[in-house]
Amino acid sequence: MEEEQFEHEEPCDEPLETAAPPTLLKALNHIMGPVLDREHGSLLYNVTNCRNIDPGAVLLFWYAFELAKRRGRRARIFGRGELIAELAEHFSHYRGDQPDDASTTSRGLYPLRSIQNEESMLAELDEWSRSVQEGTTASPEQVALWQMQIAEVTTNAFQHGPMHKKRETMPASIVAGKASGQCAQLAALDFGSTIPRVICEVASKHGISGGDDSLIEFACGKGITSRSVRQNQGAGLYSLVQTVHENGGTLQILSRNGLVHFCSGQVYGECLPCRHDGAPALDGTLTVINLRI
Amino acid sequence: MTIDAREVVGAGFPPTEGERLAVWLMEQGDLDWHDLTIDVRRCPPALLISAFFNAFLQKIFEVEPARLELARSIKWQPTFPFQEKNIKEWVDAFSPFTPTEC
Repeated sequence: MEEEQFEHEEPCDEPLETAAPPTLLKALNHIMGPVLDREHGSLLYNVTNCRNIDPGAVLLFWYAFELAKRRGRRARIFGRGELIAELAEHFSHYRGDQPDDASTTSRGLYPLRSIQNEESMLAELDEWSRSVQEGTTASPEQVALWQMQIAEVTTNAFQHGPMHKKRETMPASIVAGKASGQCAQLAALDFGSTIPRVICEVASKHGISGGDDSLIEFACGKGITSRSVRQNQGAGLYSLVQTVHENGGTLQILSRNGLVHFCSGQVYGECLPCRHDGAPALDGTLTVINLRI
Repeated sequence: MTIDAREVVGAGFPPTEGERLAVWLMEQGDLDWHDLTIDVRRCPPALLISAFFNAFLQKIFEVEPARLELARSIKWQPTFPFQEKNIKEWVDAFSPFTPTEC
């Protein structure tokens, strides 16, 4: 059998996690960097010594692989043990090789999937709530509250959906999650217009200047809406931030070049540089919600 | 009178379902909106988000603007206290979109 040759091997000895800014930036650079910053060559991500890959990082892997494929490049992940088994489970679920089953749910795993259309959104979120219910001791009320908040985010993603050129080739959003013990994480990546792009005009009218992080933070304020969807009142993101705050959890939003982290009532923002070709750090929005049980 | 919302709405996109409920209510000619409770306990929690209620109220405003204030007084019967609090907040804060805002 011919041995596969990869031009770039990306060894990763650290956890690939997205729950806090430093780790998210590391994961973003490690996973997306080789695809975006190098134009040629096949890629091998070596995660043999990596201790953890959280659902947000799984989404970044999906995106990196998607971009590599579009550019005619090969990309693989190499590893062993439970970590690579779980990663494989995410990807085979995405491809439809492995339907949701009781064992997945009972382990609190909510494997990678795309939410292709508005109609399937509620069913997919219901699936997530079952994995949280099975994988943790969260009460039905807690789970219902989180379901509601996540629906606010995914509804926004559809309302400000993919721009025309992206719509034909990308799913509206992809999601993955995991719940165990004292915490639950849900990560969503959508390929909509991005928060900074949607809100910039309104922000400018409010005298908000600054980078994409300032625009995202502004968009999370009470009653802030672009009104690009006529009935919207600016309640969705604001109430998500409030819920995460009351829960003692964290929320990370990476949209275009803005990264905003909400934790313990504090907000941390950072404006990321564009890629070498002028492209934004992420041409979409990654939302990572970490909740405490 | 109490209406079970699940008999009217499905598990589709929340704004679409909110509009569906509004249209259905406006079509019920003999319904007294002064004493109306909508039971949403059988609706999925992910349906009962701000976009559902905003779309519901916006649709009423667009079709029968005179009924908007009456629609705000409708009682909602959800499963959990946080839902009741949220719904009240969203309904009270709702400000209809008018073309002049363009």
